[in-house]
Amino acid sequence: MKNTKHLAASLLLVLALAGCAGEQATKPSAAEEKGAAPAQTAPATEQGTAGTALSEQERMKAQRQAELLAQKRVHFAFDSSAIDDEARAIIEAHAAHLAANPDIKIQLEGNCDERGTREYNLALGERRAQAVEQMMKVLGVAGSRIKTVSYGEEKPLCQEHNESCWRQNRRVDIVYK
Amino acid sequence: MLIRKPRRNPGRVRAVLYAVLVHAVIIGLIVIGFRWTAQAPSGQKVIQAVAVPQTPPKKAEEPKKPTPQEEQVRQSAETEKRQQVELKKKQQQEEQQQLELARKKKEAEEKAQKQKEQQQQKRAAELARQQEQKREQKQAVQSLQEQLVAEEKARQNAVQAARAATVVDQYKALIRQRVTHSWSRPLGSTKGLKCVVRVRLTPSGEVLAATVVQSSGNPVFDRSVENAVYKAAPLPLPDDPSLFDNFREIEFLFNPETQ
Amino acid sequence: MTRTAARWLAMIGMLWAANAQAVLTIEITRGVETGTPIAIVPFSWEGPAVPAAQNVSGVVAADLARSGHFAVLPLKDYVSQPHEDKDVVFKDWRILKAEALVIGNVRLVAPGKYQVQFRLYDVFKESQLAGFRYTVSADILRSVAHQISDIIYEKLTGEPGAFNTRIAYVTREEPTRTAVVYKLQVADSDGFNPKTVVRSAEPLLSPAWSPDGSRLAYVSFEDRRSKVYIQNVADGRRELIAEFPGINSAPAWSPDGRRLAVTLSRDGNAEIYVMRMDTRELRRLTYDPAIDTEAAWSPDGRDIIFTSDRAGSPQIYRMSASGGPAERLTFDDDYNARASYAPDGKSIVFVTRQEGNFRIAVMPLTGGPMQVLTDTSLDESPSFAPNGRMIIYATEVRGRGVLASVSADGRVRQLYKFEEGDVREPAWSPYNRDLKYKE
Repeated sequence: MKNTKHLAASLLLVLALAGCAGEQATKPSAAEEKGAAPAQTAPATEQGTAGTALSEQERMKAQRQAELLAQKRVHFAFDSSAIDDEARAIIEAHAAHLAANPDIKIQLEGNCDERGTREYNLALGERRAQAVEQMMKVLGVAGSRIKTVSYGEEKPLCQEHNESCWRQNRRVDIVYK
Repeated sequence: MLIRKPRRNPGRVRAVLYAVLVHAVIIGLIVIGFRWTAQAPSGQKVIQAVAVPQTPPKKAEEPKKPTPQEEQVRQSAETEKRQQVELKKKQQQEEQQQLELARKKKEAEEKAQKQKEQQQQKRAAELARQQEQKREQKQAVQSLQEQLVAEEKARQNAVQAARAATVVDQYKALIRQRVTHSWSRPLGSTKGLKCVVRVRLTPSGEVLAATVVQSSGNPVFDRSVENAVYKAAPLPLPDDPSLFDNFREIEFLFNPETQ
Repeated sequence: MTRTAARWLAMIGMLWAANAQAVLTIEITRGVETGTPIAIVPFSWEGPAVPAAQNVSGVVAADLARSGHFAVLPLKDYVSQPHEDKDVVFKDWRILKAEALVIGNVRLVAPGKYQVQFRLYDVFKESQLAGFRYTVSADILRSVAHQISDIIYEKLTGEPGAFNTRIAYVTREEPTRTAVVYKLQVADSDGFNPKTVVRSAEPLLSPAWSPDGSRLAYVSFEDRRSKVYIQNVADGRRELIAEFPGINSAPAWSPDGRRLAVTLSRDGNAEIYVMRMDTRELRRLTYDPAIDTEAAWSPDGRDIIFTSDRAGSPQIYRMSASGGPAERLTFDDDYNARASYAPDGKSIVFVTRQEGNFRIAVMPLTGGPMQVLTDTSLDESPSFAPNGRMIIYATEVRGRGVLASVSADGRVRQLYKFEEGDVREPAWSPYNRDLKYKE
């Protein structure tokens, strides 16, 4: 009897918290590539006041943000750790999401394509991850919430020997913990 | 009175024995200790191969006695000598004939002078003289012909010698090709290496002896060169035995041109 | 003198000259490059049968043929098959144009103990060049065969062989679509007898042999990030050497085995450090914001060469092992990495990129030009054999990672055949110390 009461109380509490948090859904596991929940709730956060009528422009902006946040990878040019505009947009979206959710931690995983030597690529992958980390810090994310790791060329997404596959592999993965 | 012997130390023998035993044990431990340290660092025992020495060299097989060939060689040498002697004889004959000619000319002149003084005995003498002159002319013509024949022969011999030189060149090229084909050139850079091997051949082209007269400094290169000559044997030689002397001894200069 | 007389004299003179002892000179400028012809008579065998892989003369023949320096004459042409010195008839081998002959025999002399004896002859000189006898257990037979190959190779080429050595490499297999298995393996120099030393679901990289051949240092991602381990090859005992924040990778043993160079990014970016094996004390060597990695020691232990992109792209640099300024060594092409010294310390081998193709190149340290040895496009991790004559490296053939070897002068190239998966990261061991034939 007592146990059931405790259980019920705990459950109520959890639900209440969930309600208060509002947009905060259950944390997605690190292995999950697409976190549907943050994407759904982010626009509401961005908008601030939950107005009754969102303008068309605002709605499109929200959708764009959702799309960017759904991207968990940023890509790079060969032997480079420079962040291009597309990557920048994605990083900004994530940085904003992190700013709004101070408890979330992420891991940035640097990768390279198969060309070149493995050890050099290990260092290059790290440099890419650090570039993304640096940009996030500039955008206000605390360094303690970001971990970087490099897998060099060891964790490719595809195995073909052509430019389109190589481009896919030259990436930093943003993994939510 | 009993003379008491000074009492010996009773345990002495045993003490000595124990001392020896202890020493033996210590020495034994030291020896074993040395054996342990000689092992490979990983603790694994190193296996030592035992050299198996070269057995006394076997007698090389006797090469076939080239008696028939030597005979041939000797005979051809003899015929050559004979030819030379004959030539010398002919030359002497020639010289003699020339002297004779000169002498006879002089005699004819003297006779002509005598004829001029004794015109009474002319006809018989003149006829005789004319006959003599004719004979002399005939002889002169004959000797001239012989001279021409001799010159022709000299010319022919020169041509033959030239032809022999071409044959020699041809076989030289054949030998070169054969040895090139048989040379397993050591892989790796052989640029700048030069080796000279002097080879003595039998008339059938077998190698009597091959010696390195100028080493390249690289024993592997030298050995490959010697082996090339051995593998190329029997070397091709012209059928004409009189040309063998050109090939009796050959010096091969191995000088690779590419890297 | 009259003309006729002169002619006669000339003719006599010519004939006389022809009759004198003339030495004909012939110049040979080329040969054939098939390798030294050698006959290897299958060793006689007395005792219980052993697997084909332990067929001593078979291994010797394969080793010598693989080196590219020998043309092993086919068995079907052998007129006789001697196994003892007294049965050798040199004429039988001269007619085959064999320059060298190898004979031998194997017999069981005690339970589990085999005696192997062999002799190497110079056929045309009819002399023995080498002869040895070994007494070993069956599992050492292959090592004996490789050492016999080394002895023959050295006697006939003047250079030490590298057959009695091992190679370490990493394989990656996908037994199922979702599972990946990485293995660090050690095999004989010919790829036989592979033994798995480490097995992991996460990547393994950069195996590096200790100078005495007893241990391997390597990088493992088993904890989801790079860490350096040192493991004893024989018994598998291992020790975690470096797990600092950031990257821990590119281990390289000093020639005396007392120090280990590693790449660490604990201070912010990839730099080279040297760790003393006795105290585990670290000393930092590079202080550049660029990537500095892939250190390799000179054979005298004084210098370290490494890869750095401080000039904008990866190039090879050299510095003193005790620290100081670095000197750039490579200037051609826009990518040069993973350099290591030849055993004689006179040249280096590394990966270079030519028009987008990653190839293996060697370069003398005296300042001569680099020589590119391969013509494929995804070559990496070159490693010298301890005799400095062969280089093993990783490459791709039909989309699959394989190992290949190339001679240091680029003439001879071979592919290693592996059963499954991709193979990469080869490292050639120092000479095996299990057998000795020199005093």
